[in-house]
Formats: sequence, C-alpha cells, structure tokens
Amino acid sequence: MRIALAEAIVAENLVKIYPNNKKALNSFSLTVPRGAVYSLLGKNGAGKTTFTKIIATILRPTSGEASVLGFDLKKQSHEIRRRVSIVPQESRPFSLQTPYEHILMFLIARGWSLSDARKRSREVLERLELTEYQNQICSTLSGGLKQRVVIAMASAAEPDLLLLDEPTIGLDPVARLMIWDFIRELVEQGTTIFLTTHYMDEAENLSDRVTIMDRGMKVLEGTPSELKRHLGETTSVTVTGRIGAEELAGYGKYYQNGSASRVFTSESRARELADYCVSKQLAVTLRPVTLEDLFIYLLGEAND
Amino acid sequence: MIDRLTKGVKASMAIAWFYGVQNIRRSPFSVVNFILTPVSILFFIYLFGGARATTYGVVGGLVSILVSSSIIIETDAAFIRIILKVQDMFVASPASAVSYAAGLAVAELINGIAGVGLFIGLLAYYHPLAPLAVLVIAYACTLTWVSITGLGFLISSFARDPRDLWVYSPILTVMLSFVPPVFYPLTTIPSSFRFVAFLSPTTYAAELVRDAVGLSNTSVPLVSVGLLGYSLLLIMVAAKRTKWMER
Repeated sequence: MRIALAEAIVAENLVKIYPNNKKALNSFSLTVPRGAVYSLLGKNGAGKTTFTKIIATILRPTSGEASVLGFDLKKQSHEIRRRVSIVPQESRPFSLQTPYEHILMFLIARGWSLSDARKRSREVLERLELTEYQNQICSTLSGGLKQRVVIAMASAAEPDLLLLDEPTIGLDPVARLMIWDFIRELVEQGTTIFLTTHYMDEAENLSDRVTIMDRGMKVLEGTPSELKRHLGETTSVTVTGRIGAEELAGYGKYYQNGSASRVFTSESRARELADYCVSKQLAVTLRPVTLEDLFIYLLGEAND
Repeated sequence: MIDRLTKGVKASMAIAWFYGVQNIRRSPFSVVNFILTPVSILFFIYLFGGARATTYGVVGGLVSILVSSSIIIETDAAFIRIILKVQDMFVASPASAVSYAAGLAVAELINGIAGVGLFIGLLAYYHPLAPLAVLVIAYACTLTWVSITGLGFLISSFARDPRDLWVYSPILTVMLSFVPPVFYPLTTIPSSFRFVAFLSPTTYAAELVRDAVGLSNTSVPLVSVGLLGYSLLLIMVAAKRTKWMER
C-alpha cells in the first residue's frame, strides 16, 4: 500500500552498520518532496552513497524505516524498482558496446517493448548530444562521454525518482552545464532528482533543498539560501599567501589550509581585509558566500 | 505471472544480445579462447592414443568447453558489479536477478557455442548419433551449462575484487574438467573410489555423453537423475546464497 504521495523519499532513523562494523548511517532521517531536486552533501565517507544505495534498494538498512514514492522500502522493493533508476558512483559503460546498444538493452531489460525502446534510445541520445557517437564502441569514447552514456541509460527509463551519485565527475564544464539543463528538464517533466555531489556550485544551482551530512548524521538541511544564511556572514574572502591566524581572527570566522585562507565576514570588514592584504602584497578575492563556504565552515573545522 | 515471465525472458535475451552477440561480433577471437585448450589436448590424444582414445578426448573436449564457457560468468559478473558498477543499475530496476544471470549465462555460452558445435560434429564423425543419443547429449550439455553457471554466479557475488577470481577460474576449470573422469574413462578409477568421481557434476555429464556414443555402459536413468539432482542442488544453493543486493 502506498503511504505517502507528497514525498518521494521519507527516511526515518536509518542506521547502516556494515559487516566490518563500520557505522555508515547513524539514525539518519530525511524527507524529499516530489518533483524537486534534492542534494545530499558531505565529505568522502559521510554516508551519502550508503543512503543512496538504500533508497535504490541496492543495500539493506540495519534498522530504521523508509518509504520511496509511497512504497515501503523493506516490503515493496519490487514496486520501488519499477519507478526508480540510479547512476551509481564511478559507473562506466561496457567497452565493446555502443551508447545506443546500452540504452536499448537497459530499456528492454526494464520491460520496455523493442519499438518503444528504440524510439526512446534515439531521443535520449539526441538530448544528451550523443547521436554523433551512438554507433561508436564505448572504449573509444572520452571519459566524459562515457559518463553521459551511463546517465542516458538511467534516465531513459523515465523513472519517477532518479538517483544520481556524483554524476558529473569527470565532465568538462560545458558538459556539466548540459547535464544541469537535462536535470532541470527531467524535473519539469515530473521526475524527482536525488543528487549527491562534491561540486557545491552544482548543488547550489540545481537544488531546491540540500542536506549536509557528516559521519552518517544530518548536520543541516534547508534551501541553498537558508543554508547560506546559517553562516551568518555575507562575504567570503580568499587570501593566498602567508598570513597569520591572529591577523585573520579579527575579521570573522576563518579557515586556513596551508597558504590558502578563507574568511567569512561582512561586506565592509571584507573590504578592510582586502585592503590590508593588498598592502601586504597578498592575492585576495572577494565574493558573496556560497554553499562551498558553508561546507568548509561546517565540515572543515573553521575557527571563530 | 505470464507477463512477468515474458518480461524476464525478454530481459535475458536483451542482455545476451548485448553482452554475447555484440562481444563476439567485435571480438571474434574470444571463441578461440574456449576452443584452444580442448583442441590442443585432443590433438595429443589423437597423436598418441588412437581412434578410441580420441573419442574419449572429444567427449572431454565437449564437457570442458561447456565448463569453461559457463564458469567464466564468475569473473565477468564480478567485473560488471565491481568495476563497471552497472549491476547496481539492474538491481535498482524491475529486472530480476534470475533474468540478469540467465542473460549473462547465455551471453557466455554464445562464446562457447562454436566449440560445442565443433565437438558435437566430431562426436558424430566418430560415432553416428541416433536421435535418442542426441537428446541425451543435449540433456547432459544443458544441465552442465546451467549448474556450472549457477556455481560461477554464486562465487562471483562474494568477490571483493575481480582479482580474487583470477585464481579460482583456472582451478575450478581443472577441478571440473581434468581431475574427474571427463577426458578419461570412469573405469580407470578403482571401483572402490569411483564414488569420489561423482562429487563432480561433470562426471555425470561425461558418462551420459560416453554412453550415447557407445563408450560406456552406464545406467542412463540413474546418472540422468544424478545430474538433474546435482544441478538442482547447485541452482538452489546459488539462488539462496547469491548476493544480489549488497549487505
């Protein structure tokens, strides 16, 4: 029985402990509205892929409850599988097969008729600008094109929920923008997108809502604007070169890593810091705060 | 139910076309890979053993090609799951584990089918095949393919890295094709130890084929039931223990 219609994913207190006793999810809860782009951010090993695999019915949770598109994760996985599709992290196409063959085979394996699968394969190839390469075996394609083939396979099935685990890794900036447009188009057509990414600009540009997680737990959730407000500052200053922590401390929250420093402060204090840095012959840039700043502030152990 | 079965068969055929037919079209020499070893063994048996020994070699070659083109699913399935990570896309889809494994199994068999055809042709050359003999050979070949494929897919699901399996494939091929009486008569084993030979499913298959071409006087019903039972056991264990989802 479907229990929720307004939400694509409702996860409550999910715990995942792997056989090697590593706890990947620690009472993790999340609600993803339908028709949205929802991003999950976190450092490597935070539990993003584990959560994505659980929602895709690839991995069983140790405990906790979840429903996907209104179906119970544990009891109705077959119903969920008819409606979801995933681009796994670091997935690659087969070497000796063409992009067209990949999509065609995957659609038929998912239950499409041959004629519908043929038509849909051509549409997706065209939309992802792969038509030119459709009959080329994948071993001859660039890394970015290979990644596009996997995205084409997963999205061709017209799932209600598309799970993308770091889908734009290895893509050049132009190809990334094309994928972003494609994602927006899918959302307009009614698909819910669940995205994990390390590209903060991607999350900021695409997402309706974002969750930041760390060590299997939720740290913060909200719209990109809400999350940026959480930082409490408006301007981010990046200083390249040697500058002491004591020199930065007076300006606001700061984060230092080697010779790169980032300070989160008000616009006026940012200008003062910029003047000071220029007087000391240090490279400095100013810009409004981004999700990346918040990420560094929350997970990079910034100093107040 | 019928709809689900039809979709399952279509899914398997799509995977077999994709991974079997397209692979062999673009890399036809993979066929040679499966033929080379049994043909080489047969060549030496022919040189030094005479006509009767050669027929034993042909039976052995047929069974060993079936073994090698079935057990290979072990490394291929692990590669698709661990390196390409495409198996996850199938898990998160309406395609079932059975249709996925069956599709891969047929794909692997497509690589071995030329060798199977060659050795069946040689069998017919050395000993004209009656219709019943053809049926018995087909039965033995099919169950060998099904059972060894089940075993291979089961093993693949436990691999952490395809490298884990590079070691097992040759060992299993030897344990299933060369150690048991596949290339040589069962009667060369002392009668009190013959039961050990029946620990391998390939012994049953080889005995059935040998009986079909007049090289053995085995009890066909008994060995047929034995092979069926062994195959069902392997398939049941594979179905129960194979890790389709991650844990």
